[in-house]
Amino acid sequence: MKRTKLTTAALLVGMTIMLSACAKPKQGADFEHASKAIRAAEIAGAATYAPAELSIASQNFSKAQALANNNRQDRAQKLLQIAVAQAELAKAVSEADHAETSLQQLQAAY
Amino acid sequence: MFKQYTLKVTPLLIASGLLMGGCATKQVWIPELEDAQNTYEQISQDPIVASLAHVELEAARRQLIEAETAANEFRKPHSIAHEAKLAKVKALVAQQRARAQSSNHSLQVALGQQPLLSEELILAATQVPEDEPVLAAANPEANGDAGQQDIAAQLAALSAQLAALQSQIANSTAIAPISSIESAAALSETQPLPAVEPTTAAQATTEITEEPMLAAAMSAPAKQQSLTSPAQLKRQLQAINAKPSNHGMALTLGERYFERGSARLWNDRAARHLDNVASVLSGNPDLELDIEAHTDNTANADDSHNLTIDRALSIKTALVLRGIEADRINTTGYGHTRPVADNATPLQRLQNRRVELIFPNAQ
Repeated sequence: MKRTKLTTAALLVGMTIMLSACAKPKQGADFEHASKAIRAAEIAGAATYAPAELSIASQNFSKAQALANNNRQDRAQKLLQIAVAQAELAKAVSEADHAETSLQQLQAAY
Repeated sequence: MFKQYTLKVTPLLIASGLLMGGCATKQVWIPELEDAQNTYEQISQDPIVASLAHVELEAARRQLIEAETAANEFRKPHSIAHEAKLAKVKALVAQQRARAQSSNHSLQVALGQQPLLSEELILAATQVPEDEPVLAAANPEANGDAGQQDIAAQLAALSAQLAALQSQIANSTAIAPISSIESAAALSETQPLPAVEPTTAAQATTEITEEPMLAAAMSAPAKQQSLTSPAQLKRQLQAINAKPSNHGMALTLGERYFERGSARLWNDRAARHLDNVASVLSGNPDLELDIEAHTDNTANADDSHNLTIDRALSIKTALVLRGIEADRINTTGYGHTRPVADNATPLQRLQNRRVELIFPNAQ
């Protein structure tokens, strides 16, 4: 009987460790995804064409890092979602502005 | 015995009823959700976005459903607001993606390279549905009685204002168009609205539908006095998506705000933008506005001039109805004399059919 209890307790501890191990890469993946989205926006020229959107994305990313360090994972994840969305918007605005500017320059040249 | 039991149970029933009633009215108004719904509705109506960025638009729609589900399930307000914010941003992404697609396509064509978009896609993007109501008032089924009366009253006032403004244009030099189109302006008073290309299209490549993030902040306090610094004014204008141009901050409205080939505004589409512009103008009494309307080269020069003059006047009238002094607004119709793109393709013609709102004393 005692042996059974010990086995169950060991199993529970093991499962908890495994679950927490699973949770960590996911959190890391969220950060990586957001980081990539912000980088993509920067490459698209967001610092020039969409500084406001890029700034919101970066701010949310930084806040998410701070919250994750304080073990507030849920809130951090939400901020990362906003960061990704804003970075995608910054990228889209930059691409659109860049295309329009190029078109205008081309038309002016002829 | 039964009576005593009834007496005991009745207060309990009443109390539980009140409690349940309390729960039922617990749903609170989430401004972010309304904001997201409005933004999505506005953007999704644009055929260009629907055609050129349907994947992004679908993502926005799904996100909006998430937000509405959260509201229907009485989740915490901040949770609903979060989902709604995501929905709004995703709708804006769709809008910008369509803009980029459209411009890149024109760029490819201009460079003599393989067009980015197929003819079918362009046709779908530039087609305005036949059954769409011209004005909200023309579609009574879509509105409640109160809405109809309100719109009817607005229409009557709009007609009166339009007539007054047209006569004002004839008599006043203050808001006369530039000399090159003066004769056309005079002609436009008495002429009916010109017919332009029958398949005129909606325009989204340069149009603005983003909500002003600072709208609430900018309206109330600024109405009392003009204490806005140039930097604040610039931020306010940027919030309604005005961008620096050679003549001041400017924003471009696409043709989709007008009935095809006419100067009649689609009230439901234009209202939000006009509200935003009126909000900035009323908050900055020294700020002036130049409305410059343009079209493509598919109609003859006179018709084009008349149409653009009438369209500029329509915008002016709508702003005057929102409380802006008429003498702060100058209108000019340029016809097809100032294209921003060649008129070679449907998309390029679409880019040329536009109304520019320029704030000359804001840089």
